[in-house]
Formats: sequence, structure tokens, C-alpha cells
Amino acid sequence: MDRDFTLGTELTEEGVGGDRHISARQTSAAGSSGLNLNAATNGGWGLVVGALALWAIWWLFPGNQRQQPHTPPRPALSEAPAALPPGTPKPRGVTVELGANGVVIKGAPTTASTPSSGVGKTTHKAAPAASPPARSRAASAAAAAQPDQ
Amino acid sequence: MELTWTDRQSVHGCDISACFFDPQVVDREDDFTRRMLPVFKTARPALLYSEQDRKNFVADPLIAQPDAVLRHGRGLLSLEFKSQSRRSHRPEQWQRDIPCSGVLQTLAAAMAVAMESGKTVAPLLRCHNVIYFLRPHPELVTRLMTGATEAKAYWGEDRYVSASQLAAYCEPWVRSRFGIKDDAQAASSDAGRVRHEEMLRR
Repeated sequence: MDRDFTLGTELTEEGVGGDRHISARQTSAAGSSGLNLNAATNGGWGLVVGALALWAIWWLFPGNQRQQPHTPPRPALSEAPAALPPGTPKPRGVTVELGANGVVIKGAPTTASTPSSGVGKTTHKAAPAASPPARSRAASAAAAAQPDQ
Repeated sequence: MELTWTDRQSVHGCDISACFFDPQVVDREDDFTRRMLPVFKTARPALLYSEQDRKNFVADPLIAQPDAVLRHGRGLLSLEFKSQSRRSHRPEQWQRDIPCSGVLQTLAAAMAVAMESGKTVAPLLRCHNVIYFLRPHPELVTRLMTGATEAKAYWGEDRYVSASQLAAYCEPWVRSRFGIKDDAQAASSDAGRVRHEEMLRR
């Protein structure tokens, strides 16, 4: 999303009026974006100072990776490769292992960055441009799972 | 000429105008605008795309297929239709009936239409007995913008994330940030806290 756009805030019989102008620009190769990020062009010194501050915080308050000597020994594992069904993408940085003493989750993020599991129950309507029939498939799935589409 | 709205409230991070109508009458209209956009009394926006056209609007990585896109004056209308099994919204409590996911999907689709077309786009959500005009809070637009890339990764998509996927991804945040909490909910919450303390006493 790297284009400006305007959403209408006034609607009359004659037309759409808009004063909500939104300027959206990519700010990094990683894909993060923001709105009217004029401050991002104010030079690199702020970035340098910010990076140093982040590095100092990381150094002063180490995370889990630097406290590994305190972790207990791993439980015996059984059928760990079968814990995820074939084709399931492995989440980056998080491993889930089925051990004799239960499910062991390693590398879980310390801050919640994803919504609750219930979100996954929602069906999807729009389909990629390359496969228009996918919408009808999605609609069928939606009709089966959620008849009030 | 101004349109006649029944009510206007802030819900789900949007300033929303609502226009209620009798679906028994409106649904029988042959004309698309009279049937789908009954808030208009004289205007007849030109239908550009409807669901049958399967027109994709892409604002990489967001992709959307609004139920209809119409030209209205110098701008566009991006319309989503949620019948909800023909369930009527209550004119006195529509804030509780309007689907949060539908609101977010409507906004995401309108954003994609606006970015691809370069025109001013009005997001409209048509339900069984009411049509809503959505004016999103800037913070909500920001969340939807930044959430597109996150949602694509969350849903494990390679190329695009759909408007409905983005809506589902952002809905918990919207409910947390803009959720309604009235007296009944507050009382229920208080009762739950008291009961919790009672059961967990030592």
C-alpha cells in the first residue's frame, strides 16, 4: 500500500465529499507502513540515537535467549514431527513439541502480536486476482460455515 | 441536497450514519439503487461493478471484491451487503447489531477501491433493514493500513490478504480499542468480579 487515497466523509444526493485524505507510504523493505510519516524524512540522526537506545535497553534487560542456563532439561519427546499436520507452515521463532509431559512451546513472543484463536473461524471472501473462481469457493465455504453472509 | 439519516453514532472506531427502511418494500424494487441504496431519494449512482463481475481491487498486499462499486458525482461508492439471515437491526440499539467484521471489511474494501481508482470513496454497509455510511477514525485507518502486511503473514498467504481476512485479523483490536461498554455490561463485569473473588477466597 503505497498510494494516497481519500475516503468520503460527506455524502449527499449530488456526490461524495471527502476531507479524510490519507497518505500511505512504505517506510521499509520489511513492509511496515504508516500515515503521513513526515518525521521519517528528518534525517538519520534520530534513527541512530533510537537504534543505540534500543540496543542499550536490550543489553541492560536481556531476554529469554540470554538466560538459557536456568532452563530445565528438555522432557523426553515422542512423535514430535507428527505434532503438526503435513503442510502446516511452521511459525517463525516458535516451536511446538509434543513431549511425554505435555505440549512444550518454545520461543513464544513476550508481547501479544496476534489475535485470539477464534479469529481463524472467520471465512474469507475475496480471492487473488489470478484465481477469480476462488471467490465462489470461499463463498460456498462461507455459506456452509456461516449462512448469514 | 442532504440525505436523511435516522441516527448517527460512534461505533467500532467509526462515525456512522444509519438509515432505516422497510425491507418488505425496498427489497422488491427492481432498480438497483432503490433496492440497495434506499437512502438516496433522487440520485441514481451509476453501477460500475457488482459481485457478478468479480472485479478485484488491489492495494498490495490488500485485495478486495466489494459487492458493488458505483459512480456518484466525482467520487465512488463502495458497497458491502450483509444480510445476516435477514435479521433486522434495532433502530434503538443498532450499535449492538451492526457487525464489527462487516464494518472493517467494508472499510478495507473501500480503501482498496480508493487506492486503485484514485477517487474519493464512500464506504457503505447495507444490512437487511438499514444502510450505514462509515467515516473511520484515523487511528482505525492506520491500524488497517499497518495490519495488512501482518494479516497476510498471519493467514499464511503468499501474495494477497483479502478484505475479510484483514477484518478478521483487526477485529479483536477494534473491539478492545473502541468497544462499547454500557451500564448493563459494567454491572455484569462487577458481578463477575465479585463472584470471582468469592470463589477464589482463601
